[in-house]
Amino acid sequence: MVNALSSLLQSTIEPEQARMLALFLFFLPVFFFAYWAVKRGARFSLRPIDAYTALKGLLARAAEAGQPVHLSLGIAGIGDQATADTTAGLNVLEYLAERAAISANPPLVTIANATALPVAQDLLRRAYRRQGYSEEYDPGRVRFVAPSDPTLGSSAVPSPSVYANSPQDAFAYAAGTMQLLSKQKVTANVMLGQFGDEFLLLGETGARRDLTQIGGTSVVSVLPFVYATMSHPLIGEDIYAGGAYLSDKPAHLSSLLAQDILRWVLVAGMGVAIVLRTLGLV
Amino acid sequence: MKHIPTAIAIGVGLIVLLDFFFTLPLLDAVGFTFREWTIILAAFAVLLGLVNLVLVHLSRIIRHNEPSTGYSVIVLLTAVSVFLIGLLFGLPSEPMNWVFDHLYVPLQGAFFALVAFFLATAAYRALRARNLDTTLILVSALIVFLGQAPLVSAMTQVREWVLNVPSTAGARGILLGVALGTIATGLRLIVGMDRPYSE
Repeated sequence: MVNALSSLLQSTIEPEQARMLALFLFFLPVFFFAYWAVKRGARFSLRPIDAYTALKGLLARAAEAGQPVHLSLGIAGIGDQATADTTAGLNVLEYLAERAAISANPPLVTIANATALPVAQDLLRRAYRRQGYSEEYDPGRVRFVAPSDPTLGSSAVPSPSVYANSPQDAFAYAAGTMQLLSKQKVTANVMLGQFGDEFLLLGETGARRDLTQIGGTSVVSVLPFVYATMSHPLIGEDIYAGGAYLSDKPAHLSSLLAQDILRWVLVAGMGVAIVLRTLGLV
Repeated sequence: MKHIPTAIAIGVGLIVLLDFFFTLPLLDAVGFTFREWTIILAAFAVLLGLVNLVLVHLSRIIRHNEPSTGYSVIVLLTAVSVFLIGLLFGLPSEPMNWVFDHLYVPLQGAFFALVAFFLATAAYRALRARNLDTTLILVSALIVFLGQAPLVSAMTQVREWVLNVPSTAGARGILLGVALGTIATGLRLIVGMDRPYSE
């Protein structure tokens, strides 16, 4: 019976997928337990993240100056491997849109992947509707600047066939957005999502104008650019914490708690593994 | 009625997730079909993107309420020209190849070259020793920089250590956090707790 089950499992799941499934299944109960606890009123303190604190203060300044905040959702979209990064950007957009709808000063959103366009426009539209200003909604506040594809590095030589199979690099997006950042009157530049080398071009353009800059990405190779150009950088997984810090939703708070618990479990596991290995027990 | 999009998203998400983990003929076929649909949806999204691009730039030209509207004229003219060339001659054609080889590739190369200059000014800003963090970055950068030049052999070893030990450890820590964050975001979307697509 056990052998039959084992052979069935081996034939239906690859070793790598099995490891990922194990991690996922481990995460599942922790997440739902945290969600249950948060729903029951459990509260835990969040370490202050400078970027989200600054973001909360930005809108008042933007309303005062009558100038919008620019938000870049990066070069990824919905449905690709970096959907989580785009979702992180959308969480910030939801927060900005909700407050901007009241002050009639909507953010200026630029995207490089068309799949994020309807979602971003819909978030903005719903924010206006919730505040009772549906007629004020302008779909042109979300701008598709140029197509891009994070799966293609800068080494890929663009050609019609490459273009036919998949869109291309993000330099066209960077060029369009740099023009916007350098000419348009904006209070701040927020960049959250998946980025490549173009992050430096956009971030540096904003830095030269002395804009307040908040940005982050999960791409490790881009993090030096984030640190160098942003006044309030978000490093790595900090970008996924936006929902918990800005909206206080139970699902976001509980996922943050589950992440922290699992991180400590993994760190402890690594520590134990190092000790066991050092002692020659494994 | 408002629960229908959520139910569809949860159902499709679960099937695609199960298809990723397991190799079962029925699941593979359904998962493959959903992925095919994604391509079609993405193609429609590109059309929406094109419409958005044209409308935004047309509005900029007509309203004249934003600076540098001349660029919008160039964008629209270029978009229409390339669109017509593609429509008349097809994608793998001589005129389209010419556009890419003689316009797009040189422009991309020129733009990529800008990165070096931007990098220099960004590095200058990042490497000013203002506090402990930036001082550590400055020292590490100097070690890696000097280690590249074969002047002092000891520096090469220190450079290797900086890149292989603290730098890799930091990167792995970040990757671990990113992986957990991605799982959390994916889970919230799949179980319908996060619904960017509906109320």
